[in-house]
Amino acid sequence: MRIIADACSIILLAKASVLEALLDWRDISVPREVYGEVIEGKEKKHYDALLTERLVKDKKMHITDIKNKRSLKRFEESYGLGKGEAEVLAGYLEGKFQGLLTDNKQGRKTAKIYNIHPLGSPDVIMGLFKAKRLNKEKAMNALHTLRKYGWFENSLIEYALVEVNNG
Amino acid sequence: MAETKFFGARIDPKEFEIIEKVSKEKKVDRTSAIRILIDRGWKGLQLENAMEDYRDGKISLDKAARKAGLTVHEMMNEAAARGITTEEGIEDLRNGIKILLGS
Repeated sequence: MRIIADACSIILLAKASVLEALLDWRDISVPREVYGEVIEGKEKKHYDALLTERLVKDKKMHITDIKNKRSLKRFEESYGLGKGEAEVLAGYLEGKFQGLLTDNKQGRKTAKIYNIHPLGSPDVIMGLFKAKRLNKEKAMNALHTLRKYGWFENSLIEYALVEVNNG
Repeated sequence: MAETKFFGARIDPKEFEIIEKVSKEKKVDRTSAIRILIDRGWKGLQLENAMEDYRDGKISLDKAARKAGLTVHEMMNEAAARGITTEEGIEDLRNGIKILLGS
């Protein structure tokens, strides 16, 4: 399965220490603009930026160039998306990917308008756990990290924690 | 330094006190203290405007980050600190897992 991802998800999954497990399981690409958004953190020595740079150098994560400039413009102008998020949506619509990974509120909303079901970081952690790519302890730790960060509704993380615990 | 402009302004004693405090804390003259306050205040205002647009669903986080002059990473921290969530629900999570597992 090929998945195109945005900067928020790459940053969150790196923080939760599950990005490499995801790359071993699924083929992950980021548009060039998204790569730039993540790598920006390198100056401040952000872990996610340094890790992403290494993963791209090691060819574990791929950079994709978006050809459909017209849909890019549409996403930027009509839906208020930044360049990176617009590239994720436009890239998905080029038909090479089976999954769109975004934890960006506006990106998720726009995806749903186009009948695309967006994947989120909690979905990835749960998917990895259910596919036996993460053990219970690592999945719980990753979910606790997401909760601590405060990016998701607490009820969602609680639900996922119970699922993993019963898993 | 670039060309400077002169203008006079009336401020109340409380605001003057703030300038004095910054001047003392940063060990700079009043003019430099005013510059610091304008710079910080402007950045704060840009961040609040960008955050409001993101919270209201008008723009995406990366666009908000650009608007505020921050990186995506920094903007995520700011949004999380204000309790702004992605609004992903349990049904979204269930569907996402199904897609990932290819079922």
